[in-house]
Amino acid sequence: MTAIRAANVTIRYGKRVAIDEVSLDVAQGSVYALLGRNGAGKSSLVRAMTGQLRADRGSVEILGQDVWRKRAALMEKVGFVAEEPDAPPEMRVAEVAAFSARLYSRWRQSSFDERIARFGIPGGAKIGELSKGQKKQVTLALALATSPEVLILDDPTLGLDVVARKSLFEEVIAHMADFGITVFITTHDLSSVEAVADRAGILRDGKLVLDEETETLKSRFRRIRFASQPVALGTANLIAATVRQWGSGTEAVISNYDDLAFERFRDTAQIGTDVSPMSLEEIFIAVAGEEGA
Amino acid sequence: MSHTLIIASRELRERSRVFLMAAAMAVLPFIMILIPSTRDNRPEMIAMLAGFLAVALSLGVAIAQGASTIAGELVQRRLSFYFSKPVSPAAVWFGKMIAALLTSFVSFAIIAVPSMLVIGKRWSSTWGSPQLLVWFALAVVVLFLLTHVLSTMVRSHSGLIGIDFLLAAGAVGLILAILKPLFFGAGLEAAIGLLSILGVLVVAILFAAPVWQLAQGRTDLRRSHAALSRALWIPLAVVLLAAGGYVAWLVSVDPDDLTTIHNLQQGSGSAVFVSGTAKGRSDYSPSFIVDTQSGRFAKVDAPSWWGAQFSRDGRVVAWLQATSMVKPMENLELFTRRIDDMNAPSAATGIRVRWPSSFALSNDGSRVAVIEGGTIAVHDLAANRIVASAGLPSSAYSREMYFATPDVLRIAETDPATSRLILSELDTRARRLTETGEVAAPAMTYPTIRTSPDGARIFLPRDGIVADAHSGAVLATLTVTTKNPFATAILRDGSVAIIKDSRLHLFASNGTPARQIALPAQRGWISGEMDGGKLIVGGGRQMFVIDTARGVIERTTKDIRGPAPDYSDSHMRQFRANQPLAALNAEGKLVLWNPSTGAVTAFPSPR
Repeated sequence: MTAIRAANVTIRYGKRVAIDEVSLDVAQGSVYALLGRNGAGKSSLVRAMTGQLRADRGSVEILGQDVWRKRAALMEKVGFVAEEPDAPPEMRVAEVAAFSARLYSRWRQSSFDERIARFGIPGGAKIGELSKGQKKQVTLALALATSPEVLILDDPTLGLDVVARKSLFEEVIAHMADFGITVFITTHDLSSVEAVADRAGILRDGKLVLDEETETLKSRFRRIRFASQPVALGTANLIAATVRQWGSGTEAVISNYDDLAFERFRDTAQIGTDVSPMSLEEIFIAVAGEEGA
Repeated sequence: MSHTLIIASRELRERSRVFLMAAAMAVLPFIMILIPSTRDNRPEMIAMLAGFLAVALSLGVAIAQGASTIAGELVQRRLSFYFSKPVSPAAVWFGKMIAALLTSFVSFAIIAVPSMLVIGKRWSSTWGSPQLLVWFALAVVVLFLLTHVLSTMVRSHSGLIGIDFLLAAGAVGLILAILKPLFFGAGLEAAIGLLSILGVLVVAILFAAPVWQLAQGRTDLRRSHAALSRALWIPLAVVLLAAGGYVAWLVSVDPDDLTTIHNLQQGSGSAVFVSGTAKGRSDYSPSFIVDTQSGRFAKVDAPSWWGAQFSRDGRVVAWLQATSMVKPMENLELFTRRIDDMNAPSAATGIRVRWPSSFALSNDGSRVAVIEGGTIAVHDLAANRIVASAGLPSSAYSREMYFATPDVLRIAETDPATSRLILSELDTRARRLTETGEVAAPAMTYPTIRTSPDGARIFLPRDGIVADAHSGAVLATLTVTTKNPFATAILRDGSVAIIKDSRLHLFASNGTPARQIALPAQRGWISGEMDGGKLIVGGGRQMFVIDTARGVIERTTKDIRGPAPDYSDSHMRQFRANQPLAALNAEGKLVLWNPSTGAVTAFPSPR
């Protein structure tokens, strides 16, 4: 069953197209990682997914309901951590929790208290006095305390220290998935998300250039280093996502790696090769751009 | 609703510092009165200072919150705090608005109430009625809403703001255009009523539009601005369209619709000036020039209380009308219209005057004399030029004047110091103003004279003097005087008629008492003279035709009120025999009355 469905979503800011005909499905209980460089359009898509921004074209549904039309009702079931913490700086942590508690029918105060206690955030502290990471922790604690069915996290690790990041990915997201909660996350922390993401999408200049199961993705991408050059990969129907010089040889990232096809190519080409699997981060760099995330 | 209150209480808590500030300000008036120089009027000092501080703080808070609520949060990207929660846009807006307005009102109360309690009634004697508080509260609400709208538009840095300002200017222009016909048609009550309804609707739009702004714009400032603009201008356009339609209906009155006539004047011809109100059209009082023969009419913007002036040949009518809604009394223009051709349009003469200027039409309506301030000028209307002008010797503003000939304007004015009526003539060929004579008029306080049909003689009703209009030489002194000039007339044969104490007194041209005719009315007025030496006289709700030669009431028509005396012209109107006159029947509706036959017929309908 699909928890989040974006269909042909286009978002424009004036003449600039931020999101261009993006369609994606997130299965219920899965973790979807949306990757993209700065300015690729991740936050715009997230804002459309949380009903804060209307898509110029297309629609977004969460749990089968149009999120623009049914935002208020859906937010009972959707936990959201914004890229920039948006709680009023004058409010104290406990006040934010008390305010949220009055709005959500499934609010779990113990969950909130536990989480902020664990990270040493005093309930009497004002939001404006907290560090960036602490604000993120509070926002995350708020989102989790609402007992969400869908959790949308927009760059949740921004500002978090290593311990908090580890906790987020290994405990929170993994835990959520275990309980059938759908998680949609945008992040630049690719190494961490790789372990928990069931599916990944890559946004480049507003277009969804890749949307695939993480395992499938990793299985079809390989880095191949050749001792010499040039290399005629096309003869074996291997598609190179990138090709660059590597020492005196060549390095190619193959986006449709297949053991059998590659063996045939190696036999034909008669050159020394070194094939290695790629991490999500490496795949992202190959797909989204050389400059990296 | 509960979400609204939850948000309101959260926002209020955030503004608790304002209340602390208000509390500190509440103490200030009591500290100030410790200054020795304020000993004598301490209660007033407390009231003044507390009132000033309360008003200043609450208005300031309203403006500050209007500017920061929503728009400020959109700029700071903090509105997602609410939109990521299960709350509706209406709850967000109304919650924030309630908190903002309560902050303003509570701040006011924190400062004002202690001083009210301490000085008691002195507060209301200093600040006036409690109604002021209601107006103040309304001002706070409107200021908050307006600053919210302005802040959203300005902060969005969108090109839309140019369109907004154009639309705002257009809306103001449209409102003025809608109100203009009511204003010029003396429909002040209707205008104020409509303006009040428009005000309430505009506030309602300002009140509700942000809900649409948040529902459609949500966390995007520019889209928020666009949504707010749509939510403001579309309903406002609908409201103004409805208001325009209402006013169009209100002013679509023709003479048939008039149920209460305020002014009914008839010149020597068949045209009448009529103004009044119609059923269901509030106090809107249109004025019309109506041809009583054909029923054709033209609507004119002459205020009913000023009426119009007909040229004595019955071909031209002139009137003053305001040209601006701002200081209308200081922006008057003289308009004329040919009434022998109902197709002819009303013509603006370009002659601009300010109240209480007076004017006189020449007998053929080709010239008009205007006294403006201390200057008199005679304009040729066809040539659109001044043919003569002169400074007047005195500063009296009340004068009678008429064209003795097309080239000679005769002016009569009183000199209060010497109780004389001074007669002057402006010769337009010689372009010279000359004092030609004077009449001792001890009873006259202002120049109310009656003029003979040929203009050669004048009658001073309060002094009972008949004088030569040029030299002022006294020709006769009558034994009857009256304060009511409209109950007197000099007839074509030079005899003088005066209505007083239920009698019509007739004097020969040399002043000898000729006849007394009993009138079945305590008071009366003389409407005009009909061919054959017959006077048309009104009294009570009856009209009389009096044969002056025989000294009898020839005809009495009951339940009818004929044309009123011409207040703007000292000449008595001359009517032809068998000429139907406009009149009002017992129900106050327009009818035609033929003095020669006594027949009352329906007023010709244009429909």
